[in-house]
Amino acid sequence: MAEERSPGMAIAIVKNDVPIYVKGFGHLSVDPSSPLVNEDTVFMIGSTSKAFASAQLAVLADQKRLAWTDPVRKHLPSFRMFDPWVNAQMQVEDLLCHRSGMNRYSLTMMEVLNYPTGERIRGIRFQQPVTSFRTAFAYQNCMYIAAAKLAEAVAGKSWGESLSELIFGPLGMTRSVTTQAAVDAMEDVAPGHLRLSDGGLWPIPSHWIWNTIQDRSLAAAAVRTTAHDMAQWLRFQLSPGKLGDQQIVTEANMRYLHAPRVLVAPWAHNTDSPSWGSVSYCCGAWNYWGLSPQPFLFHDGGAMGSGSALGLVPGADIGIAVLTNIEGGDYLASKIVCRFYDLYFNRGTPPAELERNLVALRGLARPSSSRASFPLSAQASCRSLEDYCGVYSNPAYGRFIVRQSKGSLVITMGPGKIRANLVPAGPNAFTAYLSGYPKGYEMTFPMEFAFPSSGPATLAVGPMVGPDPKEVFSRMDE
Amino acid sequence: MRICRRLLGGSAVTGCLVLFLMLVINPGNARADWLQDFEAEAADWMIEAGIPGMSIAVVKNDAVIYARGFGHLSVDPNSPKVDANTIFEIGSCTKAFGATQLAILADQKQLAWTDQVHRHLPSFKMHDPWVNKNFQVEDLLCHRSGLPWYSLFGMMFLDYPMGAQVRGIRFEPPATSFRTSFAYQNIMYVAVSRLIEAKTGQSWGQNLSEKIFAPLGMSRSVTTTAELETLGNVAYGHLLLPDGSLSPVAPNWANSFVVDKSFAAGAIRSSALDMAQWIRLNLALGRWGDQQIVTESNMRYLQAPKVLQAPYANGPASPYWGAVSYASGWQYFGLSPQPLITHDGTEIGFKSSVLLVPGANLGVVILANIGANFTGNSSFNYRPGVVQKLAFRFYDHYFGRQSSQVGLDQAMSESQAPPQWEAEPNTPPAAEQALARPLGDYCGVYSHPAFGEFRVHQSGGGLEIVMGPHKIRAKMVPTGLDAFRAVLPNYPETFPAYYPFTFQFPDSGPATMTLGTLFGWPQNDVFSKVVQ
Repeated sequence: MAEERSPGMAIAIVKNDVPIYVKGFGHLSVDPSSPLVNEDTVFMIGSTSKAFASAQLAVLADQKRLAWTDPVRKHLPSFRMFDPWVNAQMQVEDLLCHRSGMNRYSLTMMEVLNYPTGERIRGIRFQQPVTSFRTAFAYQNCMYIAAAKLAEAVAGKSWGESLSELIFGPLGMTRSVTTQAAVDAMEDVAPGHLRLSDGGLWPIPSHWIWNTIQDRSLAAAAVRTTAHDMAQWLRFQLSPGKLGDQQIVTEANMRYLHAPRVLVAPWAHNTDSPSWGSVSYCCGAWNYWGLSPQPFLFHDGGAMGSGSALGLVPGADIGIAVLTNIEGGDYLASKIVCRFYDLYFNRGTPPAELERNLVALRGLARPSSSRASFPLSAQASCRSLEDYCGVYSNPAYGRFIVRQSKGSLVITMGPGKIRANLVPAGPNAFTAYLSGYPKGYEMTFPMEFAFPSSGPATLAVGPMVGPDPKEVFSRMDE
Repeated sequence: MRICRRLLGGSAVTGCLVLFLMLVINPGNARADWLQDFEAEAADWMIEAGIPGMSIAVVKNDAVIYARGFGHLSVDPNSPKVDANTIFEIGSCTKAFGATQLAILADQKQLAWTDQVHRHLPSFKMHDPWVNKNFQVEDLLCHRSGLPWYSLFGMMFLDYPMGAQVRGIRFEPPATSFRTSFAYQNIMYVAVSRLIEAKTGQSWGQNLSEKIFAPLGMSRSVTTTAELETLGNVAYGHLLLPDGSLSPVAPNWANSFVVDKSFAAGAIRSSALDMAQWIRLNLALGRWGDQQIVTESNMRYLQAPKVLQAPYANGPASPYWGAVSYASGWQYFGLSPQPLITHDGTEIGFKSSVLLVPGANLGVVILANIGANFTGNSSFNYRPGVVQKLAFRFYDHYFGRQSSQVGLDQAMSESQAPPQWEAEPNTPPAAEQALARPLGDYCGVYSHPAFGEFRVHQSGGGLEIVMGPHKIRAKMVPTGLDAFRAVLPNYPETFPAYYPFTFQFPDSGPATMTLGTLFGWPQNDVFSKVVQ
């Protein structure tokens, strides 16, 4: 924790249905006079939210209100895949295990530009497949947003309300919520911290304009919770599906959620390594690691300025949750969870190998950097600013408008009309700087214009993450 | 082990010599307790299950540390004894060989796992056009085609050639959405054989001999009855009859073509010592001495889980906790303390199992000459089942685990039998069943797009059907109104080798004849009467 400079951290460990360790570390914020973290401190957990949606759908499946093999569009008519056959065949379980055939992290830019959830689901239909349906693992947030909307449609109430009713309530997770508004009404909250270029940490204020990004990610990343509540969640996962005498999800459906569905990597590491074993993704939003001496269910989660990781060892009836409030804290939490497994089973994985494994695995699942950086260059753009101005349109993203303002270019993006200044970065290339982020923390998009000899001018935006394709916009006629 | 490999010969005598030498080579290497315990259990279980002969080899750290035969070549106690060189049918343990042949082609860049099958094999076609277009090489190997379990299972029993079997695939409608569920197939591995032939210009068996058997020194491994006839020390198969007795069949008996016609789905005959070499190759991830026969990454790919079979082999509280998936020619069990990779093989007269523990660099092969239980008598399940259970007990002994019989049975059944499997009723059909119509009404030519034309005619006061490219004749025994069993020739009289057919006479359109459950697997192939 100290190494990664997380201001606070909380850990829950459950063994044989008993929380044997629930503890807070550090402070709520980087301010040393802020209160100490305790077991009831609220953290953002990011993608470890996904498992909640899976469990929520499992309750609905137990109630026969949906089946895992139901076509998605039966419950969610607004959902559509690009390929008509895939659209007809796409099943509820396909939403949960990242085998849609779409590029990984599709529509991530919508996340950053704070598109409403409806737009994010609508955008799916424009995403062309990059692999044949159900053959390859490619991590998605948009599919879990669709899963949340599907749960809403089936349950007849908002995703968060339904989750509270079906999971948080029965599990006694009284300090677990899904919206910033709910967080604002609570005490003892650990704000996320962004890492600034000068080495400082910036605690995210509760009124920050970008906080709604987390809310709108729904099942992909919107849960805020505590170590105490996570202990309840771990008990439920390990039992499986039970809390006390109450069977909240049937054992059969819990087993279904814990079973490997899509291969992520043939081996986590070499056969001569203690980390031997294949890695698959499960519909319960778990990575299944075929480790020795016990299979290991693992997931990490990153949120704005926060990160978490969970690990379950069903064969040993033990589980751990680690919550942090530092940007990139998912990596810190992952290391702790993997070390926990090693220490519990007395495996002597050298720390360097552990890191190698984690990096290798995360390389498959997520980009190495969450923010794309584009080298700034003093090179002047090769046209007059006026040439770039206009309305550019993309079927998924809608309209981006480029205008001149005070001698430079400004772009207005999407339904939220997010404004960004365009700074020249090369011939026809610009970097868009989003507003609202603290000094020393630039949220930028690379943008490149092209002027083909025939047809309209185009604007390519991105990539936001890793090697993903750019989103291309075409200039509309005036 | 290099010495032993060179010594591998074709006779029982050499086999004994190999064993003798192995003991000499490792004089201080008294067998570990766990191996002795396993051996004792294997010997006991074999006798208890009434298995005539069995052969076992164990590989640890790239060396064959154990190889031994038990019992006799046949149920006849005067027949020669089984040794580590005795040849058995390995059945579906063949599938991993077919997958590995494709891996070699992938290494050579002659194909890619994600290539569309029809690109390399234009005769391959799936019923659904989208599925056909998207069907990839890797889809052939992991039983996720969407077709019902054991589609077109009947074709190999009627001696259809490879091409006709593959051509039949296009007529089989899907039962589940493509790539969502596990449904075991032989037919897709017949297509694997066809694909290998198309890419190499060799027969499937030739390519296998050249690329795998020869480099590994598997000189007692073959893929056809004809080759088998040139070899000695071959075990008889044994058919399990409804009264519990065993009926021995010679390696070249009249129905041995069924094995030949299963190709990469199940045609290999091999010995425990040869299979030990194969296990070495798999545990070494494709390395063989200085040679890399298959790249490490492709071997890892083949052994990795692709399609879920069962979320748990057993309850989380049991030592069998762990998911069961199908890899490519292998099953993957997420067991504790090490994941294991295994496959078993079932033939009419044989049962086999191969089990690898990559994390412990350990493997075992068990070959036996007792056939599958098709008799419908569930109390017989344990008899061939012993072979696979022994492979799991091997794992238990090595790791000091205790598994209950119940746990083992559950692990076997959850990983194997789909809900659709129905054992045939044990009762033979009544000789005189009332028929709804005069015999002449059933006569005629019935056609199915995959199977072609079957002819039903009167013969000797009853009905006879003529089936398949080699015009196999079967007597049709009435079993109910409009229902018959076409009893396949050359099987023991009480062995349930028959094709159930039910006739229907709709008000409009031609009469139909529907093929029912075959060796426990429901088939839904409908033949329509050809209007003359």
